[in-house]
Amino acid sequence: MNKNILVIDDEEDILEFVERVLRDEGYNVFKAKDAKQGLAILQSEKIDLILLDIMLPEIDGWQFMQMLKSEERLKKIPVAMLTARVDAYDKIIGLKEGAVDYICKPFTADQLLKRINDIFYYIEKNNL
Amino acid sequence: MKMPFRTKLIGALFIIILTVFTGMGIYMTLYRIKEVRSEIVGNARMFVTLTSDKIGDAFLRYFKTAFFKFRAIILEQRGLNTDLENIQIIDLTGRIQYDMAQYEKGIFFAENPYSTDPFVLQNIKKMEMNINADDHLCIIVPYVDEYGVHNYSIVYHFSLKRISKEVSNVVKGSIAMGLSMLLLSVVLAVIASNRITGHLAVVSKAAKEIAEGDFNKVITIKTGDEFEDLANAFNYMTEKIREDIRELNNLIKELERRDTQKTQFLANISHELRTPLTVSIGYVDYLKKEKMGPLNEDQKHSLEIISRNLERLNKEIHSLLLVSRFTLEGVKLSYEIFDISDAIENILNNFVPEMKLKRLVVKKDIRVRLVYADKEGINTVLENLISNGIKFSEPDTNLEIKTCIINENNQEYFQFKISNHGIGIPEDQLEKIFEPFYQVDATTSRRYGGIGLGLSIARNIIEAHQGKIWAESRGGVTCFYFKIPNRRV
Repeated sequence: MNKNILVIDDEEDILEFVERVLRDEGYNVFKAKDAKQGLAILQSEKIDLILLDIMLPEIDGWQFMQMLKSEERLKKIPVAMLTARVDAYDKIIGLKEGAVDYICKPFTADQLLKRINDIFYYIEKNNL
Repeated sequence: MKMPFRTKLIGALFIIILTVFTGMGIYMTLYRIKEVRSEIVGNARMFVTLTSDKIGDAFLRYFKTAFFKFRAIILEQRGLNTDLENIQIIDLTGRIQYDMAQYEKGIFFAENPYSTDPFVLQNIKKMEMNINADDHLCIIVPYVDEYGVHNYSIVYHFSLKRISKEVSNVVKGSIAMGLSMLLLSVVLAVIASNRITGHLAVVSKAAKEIAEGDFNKVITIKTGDEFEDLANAFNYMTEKIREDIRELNNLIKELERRDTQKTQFLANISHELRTPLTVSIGYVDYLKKEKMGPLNEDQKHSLEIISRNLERLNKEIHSLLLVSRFTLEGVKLSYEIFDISDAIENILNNFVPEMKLKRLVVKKDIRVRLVYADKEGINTVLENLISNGIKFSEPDTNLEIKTCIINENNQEYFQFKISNHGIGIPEDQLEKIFEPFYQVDATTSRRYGGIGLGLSIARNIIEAHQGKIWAESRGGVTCFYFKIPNRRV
């Protein structure tokens, strides 16, 4: 069964690029432009992985993650942060907050896919 | 030797007071001498006027016939003046007829009956007074008898010893007075200088406090003289300094605000540039890999160029973002153990095309592999140093890379060194190249590319590790070093 991936980013072009790359690889992709849309999709769909931008309008990535953690049904969903390489200095905060990985912007299709594969491999191996 | 102003002041006042008192003493002494002298001379004149006729008459009348009567008259006269030493009666040839002093001593016939006194001999015929002798006043009075004949002169000798006696009294008195004045002048000098230096001490204490940063210091001296003026001028100065400091502080705050603004602006810009870059790099890469259909060679080549330029843009934006972030938030480190040899190898792999182009030979001397530091940070530093080394190398040269442990002041350091052969760096710029946006000259940026942030970032990271980064350049060989304390887990 194909995995469902939710991508939350306020940039339309990034959403489109990620969608294209992931869809080509056989993932089902759901796009959200902000946290609200993301939550709405999470209510109706079973999502296997969330790719989350940190800099979002109104509710930012960190706040969104806290919202996830407070809901029993959603808190098991792995989250990978999409972030600038400089912001990798925030990775410790990110990982503490419950993100499983971070993916540095700018990223190529190969980098993105490799990270996602790694995450699913890790999750399956650990039976999460 | 340093002499306090107070001591100098005491000295000066003391000398002034002493000079005044000494002057007064000398004046008094001289005045007294004049006074005593004129008293002696006056008395002598009066005595001479009163006695010369009487003595002359007695000499003519009794000297040869009734000497005792003559002597009685002489002695009677002698009692009238205490300064009188001698009375002589000398004839006009200079022969001494009578000498009271000799006679009273019992010498009746002198060996030489002629006077030897040049003054007497010269002036025996005149009425003359000689006061030039040192301790002795001599008055010659011609005696004219009742027939108007002048055969004898009476010569009076008066002692002037009273003057020196008087002088010694005066000197003694002034010494006694001088001593007490000396004491008094010391006391006065100390009091006066204390008063002056006391005010000075207040000012100097205040100046010290101001120098230590207490600019609210105000001094109060209410003397109505120059010291009050000094205090007022001093307070005016501190007030001015306070104002200037306030202005400076405002200026600094304003500058800091603007600097933060500027850095924030940089950070925002780089963040904004990141999204288009991500999308561009992503799609170009995707296209290049023919995921959207096959490409011909021309298209591949063009995409390669776009890709390379995007990568370059990406690097510079990353640097800008890093610098602005370090400036705004400082460098955050997360320590871990990693293999620096792998890191160096990975970076070198990225530069294979450039190195091939210049036919560079890399000579590695890796004596230490494992490092405990911020991996991301050290990686950035290595990237910058290695890419600089390659960029500034002349073709067909060696690029040397070395890691080792050094010991300095009982502290172990991990040290990295990279040296290349190329244009070199002028001595006076070895420090400046670590400043943000610095390049040795404006043309280098055009020739070698880059906006000059790499070394500044590297310094930030190394200094955050409590380490040091520096460069040496001699004869076209440029070495970059960094060392960080060799921490153990």
